Amino acid sequence: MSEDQDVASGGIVLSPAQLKERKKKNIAIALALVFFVALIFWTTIIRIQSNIDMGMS
Amino acid sequence: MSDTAYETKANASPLDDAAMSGVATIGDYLALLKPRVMSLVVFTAFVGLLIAPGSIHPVVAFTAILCIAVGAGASGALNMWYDADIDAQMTRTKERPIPAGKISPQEALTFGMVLSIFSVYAMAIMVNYIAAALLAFTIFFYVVVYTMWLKRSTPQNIVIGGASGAFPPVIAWAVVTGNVTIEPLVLFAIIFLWTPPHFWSLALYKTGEYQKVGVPMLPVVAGKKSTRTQILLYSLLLVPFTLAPTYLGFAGWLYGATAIVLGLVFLVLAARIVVVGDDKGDAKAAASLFAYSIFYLFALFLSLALDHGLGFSKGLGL
Repeated sequence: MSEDQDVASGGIVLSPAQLKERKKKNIAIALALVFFVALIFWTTIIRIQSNIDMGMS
Repeated sequence: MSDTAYETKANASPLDDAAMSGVATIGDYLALLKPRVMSLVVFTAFVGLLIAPGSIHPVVAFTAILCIAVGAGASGALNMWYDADIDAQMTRTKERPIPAGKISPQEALTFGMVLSIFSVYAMAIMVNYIAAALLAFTIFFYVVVYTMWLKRSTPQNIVIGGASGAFPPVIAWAVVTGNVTIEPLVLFAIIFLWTPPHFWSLALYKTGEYQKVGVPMLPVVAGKKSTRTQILLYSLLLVPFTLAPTYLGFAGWLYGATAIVLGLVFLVLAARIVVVGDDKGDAKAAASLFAYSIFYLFALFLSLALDHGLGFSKGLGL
């Protein structure tokens, strides 16, 4: 929602500093989620490799 | 939650929450995780991971430590959410993000719950179920048993509640071995016995603040003299017990010698509190023990890690 729409709907209008802070937080959340997905992928590969090694021995 | 004077929270409307949501910085959210407490938790867990028998992939070890750190942080956030009313009235805590008006209680609650669920879930799917169950229990114990129940109802609050801070090495041990044996329980007991002298020395020179907000810390309920005696008694239990890892064979002489030296200093500082009594310098004596107790636990666990890493202990290996 744009700032104009916020004002028109009587909602809270964030200051430029607040908008900048919110953007930073959104980026941090996005990075954390990407990291979480990458970590799950990596540990899954490790587990599969470990199971293959155990099966071969 | 108590309905005492926490104006910001009691009068907050959803609009206030929305208005506050743009104010908080990433640093405020990090402060909500109690990073100093988290560092001690992570360190003791890391040592538990290091000395546990067996081996795990470094990525899994990193994931486990991360889950423990996030779980500890989530507990801290939920603790700050619940205690916002008393935090606002104490000088030591009034600058925390919620009483300072940087983060709304609702945001802190959501943040804490999401991180709790994520940390336990991640531990379960990426490490093992035993470690995940122990992590979930630790969060539950700290938030529900200690924060919501014991803290405001009994002077034994930090004695029983101290268990939550003692669990990290046990979780770490379970990460590597998949079970819990006597060794991690000894580490648990060391932290458990360390907690009362640590917190009561803080409470001794912050008694007025705890009294003001109605938290029944031991000096508030039983008086300072009785608290000093209890500190010395717990220290007398703690110091000999720290030798148990050497006695049981999962730590060597390096750890044993360090534990004796560190422990003697601990006992001297605890005895000094009793000797000084209510005389001039009592707050300084209590503050000295509080500061030393933090160094003590770090140094004790560091010596355990070094002892293991340098091969002074026998039998166990990562």
